[in-house]
Amino acid sequence: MFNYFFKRIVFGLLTIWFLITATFFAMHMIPADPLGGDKALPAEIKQNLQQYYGLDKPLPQQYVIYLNKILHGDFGYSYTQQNRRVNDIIREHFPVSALLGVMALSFASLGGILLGAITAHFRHRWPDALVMAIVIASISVPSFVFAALAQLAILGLNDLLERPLLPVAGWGSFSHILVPSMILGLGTLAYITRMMRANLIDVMKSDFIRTAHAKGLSQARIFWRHQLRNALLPVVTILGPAVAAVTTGGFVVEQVFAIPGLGRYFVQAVAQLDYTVIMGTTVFYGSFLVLMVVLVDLLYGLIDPRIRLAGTDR
Amino acid sequence: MINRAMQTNTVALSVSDFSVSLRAEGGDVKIVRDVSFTLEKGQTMALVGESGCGKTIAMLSLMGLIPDQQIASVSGEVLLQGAPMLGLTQDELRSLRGNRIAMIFQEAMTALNPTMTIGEQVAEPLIVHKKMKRADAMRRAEVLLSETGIDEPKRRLRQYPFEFSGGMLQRVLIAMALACEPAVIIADEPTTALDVTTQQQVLSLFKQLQTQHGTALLLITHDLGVVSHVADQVAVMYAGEIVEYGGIEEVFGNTAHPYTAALKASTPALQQRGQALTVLEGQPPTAGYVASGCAFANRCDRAMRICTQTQAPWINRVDGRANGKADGHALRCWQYHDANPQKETLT
Amino acid sequence: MTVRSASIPAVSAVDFELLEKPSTETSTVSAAPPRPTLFRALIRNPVTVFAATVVASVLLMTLLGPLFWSVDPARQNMAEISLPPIAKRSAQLVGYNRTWRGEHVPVSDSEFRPASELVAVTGLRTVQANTEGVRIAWQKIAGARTYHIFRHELEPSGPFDLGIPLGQVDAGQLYYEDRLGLQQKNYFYSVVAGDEREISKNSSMILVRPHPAISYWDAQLAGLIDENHQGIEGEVIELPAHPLGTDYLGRDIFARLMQGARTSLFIGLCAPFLFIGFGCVYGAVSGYLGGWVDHWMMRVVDFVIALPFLLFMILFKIMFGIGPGESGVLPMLIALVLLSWPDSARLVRGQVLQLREQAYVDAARLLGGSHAYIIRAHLLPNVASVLLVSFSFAIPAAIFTEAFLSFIGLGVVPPTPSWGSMCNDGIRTLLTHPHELLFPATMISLTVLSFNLLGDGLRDALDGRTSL
Repeated sequence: MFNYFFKRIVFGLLTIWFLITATFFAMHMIPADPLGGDKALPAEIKQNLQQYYGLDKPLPQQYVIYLNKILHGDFGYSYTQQNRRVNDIIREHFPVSALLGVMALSFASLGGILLGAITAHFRHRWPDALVMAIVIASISVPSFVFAALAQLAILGLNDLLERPLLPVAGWGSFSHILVPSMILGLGTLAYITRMMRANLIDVMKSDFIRTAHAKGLSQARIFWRHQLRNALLPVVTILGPAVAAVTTGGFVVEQVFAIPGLGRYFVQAVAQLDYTVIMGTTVFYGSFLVLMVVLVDLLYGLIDPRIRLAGTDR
Repeated sequence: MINRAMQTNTVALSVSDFSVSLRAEGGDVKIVRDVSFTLEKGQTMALVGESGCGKTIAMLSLMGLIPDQQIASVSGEVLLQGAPMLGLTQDELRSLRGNRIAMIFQEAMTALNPTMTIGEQVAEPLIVHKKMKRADAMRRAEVLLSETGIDEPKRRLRQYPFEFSGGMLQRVLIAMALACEPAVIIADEPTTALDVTTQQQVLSLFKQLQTQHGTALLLITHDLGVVSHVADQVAVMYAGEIVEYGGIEEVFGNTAHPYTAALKASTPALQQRGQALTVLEGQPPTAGYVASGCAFANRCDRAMRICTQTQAPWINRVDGRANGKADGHALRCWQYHDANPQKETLT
Repeated sequence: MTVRSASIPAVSAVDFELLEKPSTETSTVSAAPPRPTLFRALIRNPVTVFAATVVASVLLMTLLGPLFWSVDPARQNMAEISLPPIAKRSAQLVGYNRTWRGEHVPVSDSEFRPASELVAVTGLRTVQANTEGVRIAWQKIAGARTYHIFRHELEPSGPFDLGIPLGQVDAGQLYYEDRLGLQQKNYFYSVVAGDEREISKNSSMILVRPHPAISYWDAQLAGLIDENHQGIEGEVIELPAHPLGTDYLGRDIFARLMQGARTSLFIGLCAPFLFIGFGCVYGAVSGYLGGWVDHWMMRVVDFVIALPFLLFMILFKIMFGIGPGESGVLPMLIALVLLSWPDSARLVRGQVLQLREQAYVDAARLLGGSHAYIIRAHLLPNVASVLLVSFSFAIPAAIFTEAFLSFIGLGVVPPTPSWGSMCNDGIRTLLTHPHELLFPATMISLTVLSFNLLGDGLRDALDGRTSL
C-alpha cells in the first residue's frame, strides 16, 4: 500500500514540476517580449519587474529565480494592475471558484448517483429512456449554451412572476450560486449517471447479488449494502477528472454569469496578456488539479480493499 | 393427519409434480416437467444430469430466485418440512431463504461480495433472520468458520474475499449457508470449480457437517464421481424430467435407464480399470423441446417404436409394474415395462 | 411419496419392436447465421441513421452550401446589425436626404398665452412614415408659442410620460420630421403646445409604424442599385436576405455558420485522425518491442495523461503565438494532437500485448502464418474496430474543445468564424437578440450529439457483431 501511495505522490510532484517548467518556457517563447511589447509600460514598473524576475540575467538563471519564488509560494506581481500581487488575486478569487466548484460537484455526484440508480432500476422502461436521453443531450450541449439558456429562462421566469425570483448574474447570495453550480455540474452529472447506471446493471447481474437473494435479504438491504457500494467504487475514480472538468468549466460559467472567480480572472488575464497572472494562475490551477487527482487516487486506494491491502502491483 | 405429522418429522423437502415454464422469445418454454422427489432429514440427494437439463432452473425457481417477469408458470407442490413453499409471497419466501433453506452456488470466487468482509457476509443471515446483534453474529460467524475448517477464524473474519483461495471461499459459502441451521441446503455444483484435492475436502466437510447439524443436502451436479461419494439417493434428470430415481446403491449398482447407463459409462471414477470409456452420441434436446415420446429416444441404442410415441410411466425396477409411483428404485423407460417381450434379456 | 398417477396406455408387443438405429452419422451443427455486415448492423438502428443523416447534412452544408449561398461571411453592414432571422425583406427606395418643408402659418406675439391655458393640439396626422423618416403635421392652436414633439416606444401613461423629447418648433411651424434611428416597430408620437417656459398638460398622441425604406445612398452603397439608377422614389426593392439574421457587426449568420463549420469540422476531423494515427504507431511500437522500452514509453503516456488538458491547451496556444493574419487553427490542432494521443496509444498497446498471448495467434503462427498475415488477419480487425469507436468519440470531443476555447476567446482568432467564437459573439447580445447565440449553439449541439450517437451506434453494432 505504501508503495502505491508513494508512487502516486512522486508522479504527482513530477507532473507539477513539468507544469511549472512548461509554463516558464511557454512564457519565454511568446513571440512578443512580455515586457518590451507594444504596451507602453511605465518605466518604473518595467524596471521593478525586470529586477523582480531577474530579466536582465540569462535564461537558466531566470528559471532558477522563478522556481525559487514559486517554491516559496510567491507568484509575483500583476503585469496590468499595478502593485497587485498574483497571490492576492488567487487568495481573493479562488474561494469563489472553489465554492462554486464544490457546489457543482456535490450536485453532480448526488444527482448522478440518484439518476443512475433510478435508470438502472427502471432499465429499458420509460424513466430510463427519458433520463438517458437527457444525459446524452447534456453531454452534447456545451456548458455555455446551457448557461445562456438558463439566463434566458430566469429572465422569462422573473417576467412571468413579475418579481425577481432568481438573479440572472452576479455573486453574493445563495441564489446567485444555485443555477451556475447546476450548469457547471451538468456534464459531470451526466457522466456519473451513465457510469452509475452501467455499474449497477453489471452488479445486479453478478453472482454475489444472487447469493444475497439466496440469503433472504430484503431488496432494500441488498441495494444499500451490496449493490450501491460496489457500483459506487468506480465512480470515485472519475472524481479526479470531474474536479478538472468543473475547474475548467468554471472558466466559461463564471464568464457568462459574471461571477468573480479565479477562472474568469484567468480568462481575462489571457485576453489582456497579463503574463505574470497567467503564469501564476496556470501553475496554481495545474498544481491544484494534479493534487486533486493524486488525492482521489489515494482515496480510492483507501476505499477499495483490493488496493488498500494488496495493491502494490497497481 | 398422523401420517402428515410423521412426514414433517423426517421429511425435510418434498417436491411433487413440480413444473416450471419460463418466458422466451416465441412463447413460453417448459424447462422443468413434473419433477418429484423426497429429501429426508440429514440425507443427501444428488440431482444429476447434463448441463442445461433444467436442474439449476428447477432449484432456483423453487427458491424463488428467478425474477417474476421471467417466469411464465410454476405448478406442483413443494413442502419444506411440511409447509408449502409455492405460492408464498416474496416476503414470506425471503424469511425462509437463508434461514430454513439455503443455497450454495458454483463459483465461490464471484459468489461473495468483493467489498464486504467475510465476517460481515457470514453474519448477515444471522442479523437478518435471527435478529442477532452484530457482535453476537460475528462471534457466531467465527464459530461457523472454524467449524468449516478455516484456520485463524478471528483474523479471517476481517478479510475480504480476494484474500481467500477458491476452496476456502467454498468453505465460507458453506459456513454462510449453515449460519441459521437450515433444514435444507441446496448446493449447485459446489465442487466443479475446485481442484480434485479440494473437492474431496469440501465433500467430506459436507458429510461431517450434515451429521453434526442434521441438515438435508440437495446436491446438483453433473459429476457422478462426486455423487457416488456423498449421496444417499440419486435423481437422474434428462430434458427437464427425472428419468431414474432411487437409492445410490440401487441406481448405480443396478442401473436401469439407458441414459443413466450412458452417463455411468462416460465417468472414469465409476468404470473399472481397463474398461473403455464410452461417449454418449448426439446432443440433448434444446430447452423446452417437446417430444411426443421419450426425450432420450433419439440417442438411445435400444429405442423401440413406443419410445417415440409415448413417454413411459413410472415403472418399479423390482417388479416391473407401472404403478405410477416413484417408490424405491423407479424409472421411466419402456424397457422395463411388463409388456416388453425383450425384458428378460435385460440385465 | 406419490406421483400423479399417469393414465397408463394400453400397450401391445408391437410397440416394443426395436427401432433401426440410424447409422452413426455425425450430428451436424447448424451453421451460425452469417455475421451481418457492419453497415447492416448500423442501419438497423434508427437513432444511428438519424445521427448519420445529420452529420451528412452538416458536411454537405459546409462543402456545398457556399455554392448556393454566396454571401461573404466577413462583410459587415452597420445598417443591418442584429437583424432577426427573416427570409425575405424588401424596402421602399426613398430619395436623398432632402429636408422636408410642411405648412407654415403666420403668428403674432400678441396672441401667446401661458401654457396652463393651452388646449391639446388638434388634427395630428402622419404625412409619411418609413424607416428613413417619419413626418407628422398638425393644426394650429390658438395662443401656442411653441410645439414640443415627443416619441415613446410604449403607450404614454400620462402627461409626464411622453417618451424622449425629439425637439421643439416655433408656433409658425406645424410639422416635424423624425429621422432618429427608426426601426420597423410602433412609435407613439405626442405633440404638446407650450409657452416660452413650460408646456401644456394637454397632449395629443398618434401611433405610427414606419414601413421599411432605404435611401438611394444606402442602396448604392450596398450594391443594390447601380450608381446611375434613375429609380422612382417609392419603388420597392429587395434587400439582401439574411435567413438566419445578422450578428452584432451586421454579418450574415448563415454564411458565417457555413464558414465556421469548416473551422470546427476541420479541427474535429483532422485532430482525431492525427492523434489516433500517432497513438496507434506509438502503442504498436511500444507493445511490439516490449521490455524496458515499453515500460518507459508507457511512463511517458502516463505522464501526458496526467497533464491538465485544458490548461495545457491554453499554454500551448499562448506559446505558439498567433501572428497577424493567422487564424489560430493550426496552433489549436497541434496542441490537441500533442495532448490527446496517449489514449489510443494505450489502447493499441493493450491489443498488441493481448494478441501476443492469444492461443489462436500461436496457432496461426504454428500453422505457418507469416508476420504480415497475423497482423492482417488478427491484429488489424481487432484494433480497427476499437479504433473506429474511439475515433467516432474523439470527433465530438475535439469539436467541443474547439468550441470551449473559442468561446473563452482562446481559440480561433477573429475574423475567422468558428461555431465557438460565434457563440462568444452571440452571448453579448443574448438578452436582446438571442438568435445570434442560438444558431451556432444549435449547430455545435446537434453535430456533437450526432457524432456521439453515431459512436454509440457504432460501438453497439461492433459489440453485437463480435458476440454473434
